Amino acid sequence: MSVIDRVTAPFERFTQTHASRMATAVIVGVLAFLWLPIGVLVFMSFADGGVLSFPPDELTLRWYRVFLANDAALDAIVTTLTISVPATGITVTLATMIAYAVDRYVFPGRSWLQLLATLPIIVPLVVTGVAMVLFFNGTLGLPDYVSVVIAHVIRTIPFATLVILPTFMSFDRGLEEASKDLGADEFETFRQVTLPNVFPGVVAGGLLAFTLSFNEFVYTYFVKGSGDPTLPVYIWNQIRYNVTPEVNVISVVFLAVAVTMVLAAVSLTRVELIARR
Amino acid sequence: MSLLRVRGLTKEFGDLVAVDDVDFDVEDGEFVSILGPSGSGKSTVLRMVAGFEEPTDGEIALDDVEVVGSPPFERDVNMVFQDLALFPHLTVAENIGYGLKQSGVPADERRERTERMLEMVRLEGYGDRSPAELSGGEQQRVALARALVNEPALVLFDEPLSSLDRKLRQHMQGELQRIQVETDTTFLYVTHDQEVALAVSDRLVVLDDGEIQQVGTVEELYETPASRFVADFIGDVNAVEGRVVAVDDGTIGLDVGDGEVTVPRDAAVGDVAVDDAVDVCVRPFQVRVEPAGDDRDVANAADGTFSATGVVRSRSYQGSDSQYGIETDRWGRLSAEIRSASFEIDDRVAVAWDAADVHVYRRDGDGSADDDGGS
Repeated sequence: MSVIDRVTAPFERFTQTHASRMATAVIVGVLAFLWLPIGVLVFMSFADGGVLSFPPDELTLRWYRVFLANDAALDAIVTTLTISVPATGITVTLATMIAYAVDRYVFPGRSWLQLLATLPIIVPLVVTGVAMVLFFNGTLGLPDYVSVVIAHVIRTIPFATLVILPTFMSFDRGLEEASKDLGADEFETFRQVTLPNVFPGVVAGGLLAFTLSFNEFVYTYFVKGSGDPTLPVYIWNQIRYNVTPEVNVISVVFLAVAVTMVLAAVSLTRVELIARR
Repeated sequence: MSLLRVRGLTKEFGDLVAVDDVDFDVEDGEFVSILGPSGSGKSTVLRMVAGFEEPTDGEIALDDVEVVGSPPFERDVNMVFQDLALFPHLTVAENIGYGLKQSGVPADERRERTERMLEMVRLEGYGDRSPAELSGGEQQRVALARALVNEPALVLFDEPLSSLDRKLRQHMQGELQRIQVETDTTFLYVTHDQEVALAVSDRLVVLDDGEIQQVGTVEELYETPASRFVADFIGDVNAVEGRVVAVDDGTIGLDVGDGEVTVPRDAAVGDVAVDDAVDVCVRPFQVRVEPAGDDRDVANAADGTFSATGVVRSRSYQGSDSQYGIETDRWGRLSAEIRSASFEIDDRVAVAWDAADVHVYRRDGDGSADDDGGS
């Protein structure tokens, strides 16, 4: 037994015996860093007092009431939804079509399409934001609303495609043959066999797109111009001028939206069916 | 008029000719198997009949109507897929009723016919389950029911039994035959497993390298194989190399080592001429094995017998028979299936078989001799 072995042996024995406990410790640590700030934020949304200070003197629902009475904030939510809902619909449709095409067909520019669709992830947001202002508003002269929806679609398409594509790739094409063999044409096969089987991926892609779009700030800030602010832009404006605990409340709203999306995804996609396969 | 008529069917994938000028017929109510090793093109033939592949050339007529060019959903055939391809998002009953739904059968009738099919494949009460909850054999039955419920002219099988264990496979073979008779449907079955093919089929189409080797009943293929390939593929065969030394009206003289044996003329499949190199093939069960006592070492032309001495190298019991591997001095390794005698490994033995039991194939020939050759 070498010297090194003798030195490391106790450590190895320790890791052998405590492997699962060490793994637990790491997981707890990661989760803590992830969730503690968010937990503090949720906690602070109940804090009394006009400034962001920890710990608060007293707990209260006061800022929730302020938020609910704040027409500007509620308008911002409505504004966000009028952009995010159509943008999500367009994104899911396009991303599903892209995924279908990339999975099924070999066509000229297939690899380029994949790259182009994912490119917006790599290009700095600010660069694209500026480019969009110049192109949509300047060159094309599109209305602000249309520009923003297009911007949101561009922002969310790469993520939705990346989520939807694997479900197409793992889908057993033999099922489509079986469907056609049993008398269903191409369209009926897609509707009755392909879509139900890739649906979990499509829903997941849609929920991701919606969450991203709901939170989208940079493109919106550039393209939207002087119109009604979306919720992220509204928060930004608030923080710039006066920081109130109401911002915490709005953050909790964001959190609530995200959690709701995930729960909806789970209930819609019958995850337990996937787990059983 | 045949139910299915295939003429000159050819499929090329780039430079590869997967199916080469294939002709065969399937009559109404028949159970026909396409038998061939992996890569012989048998699945491609089936997929062209189903409509999943377009032939490069040739005709496929179903009920006298040309179907090449029409999509799978317009053909009156249904397929049982190799991996079954049951719809995971539908229940067993919905799987079976899928085809009926596509053809617009009302829900009531659909339910009734699905129910009847479940009975037919002995899965009563399984309708509401998910396919994933069923065993392999049960899934096979669902796949079969899903094809049969549409009452197609022809049901295609793409080796669906290959994933089952031997016992279950044999059971499903019996079930297939029963269901084929009960539903009075025509089956076209593709497999590489000669055991399955021999057990279930009325007729066989033997395919190798994209070309048809022989078409015939199980008995025809076993008793008068048209080529060494068929002889080898349908049951075991021993092959001894030889040379033709004489061709007469009724007999052929063969040199198979140190002697000449005379065999009947019709033992040779197709034409043979003097000096042709040939394979002399004999089934293991026709080989006799005796203790090597007397020195009867040379093939004896007079009594029309092939014989050689050798040493027992292996033996295995197969129910009532024993299979012996015998290393002969003259012809290398041969196998013999015998019932009564018992030999030990390393025993010296004499093997012999009658000239009347052999088939002779030209070695350099293309092997695809006439079907009416042989005995």
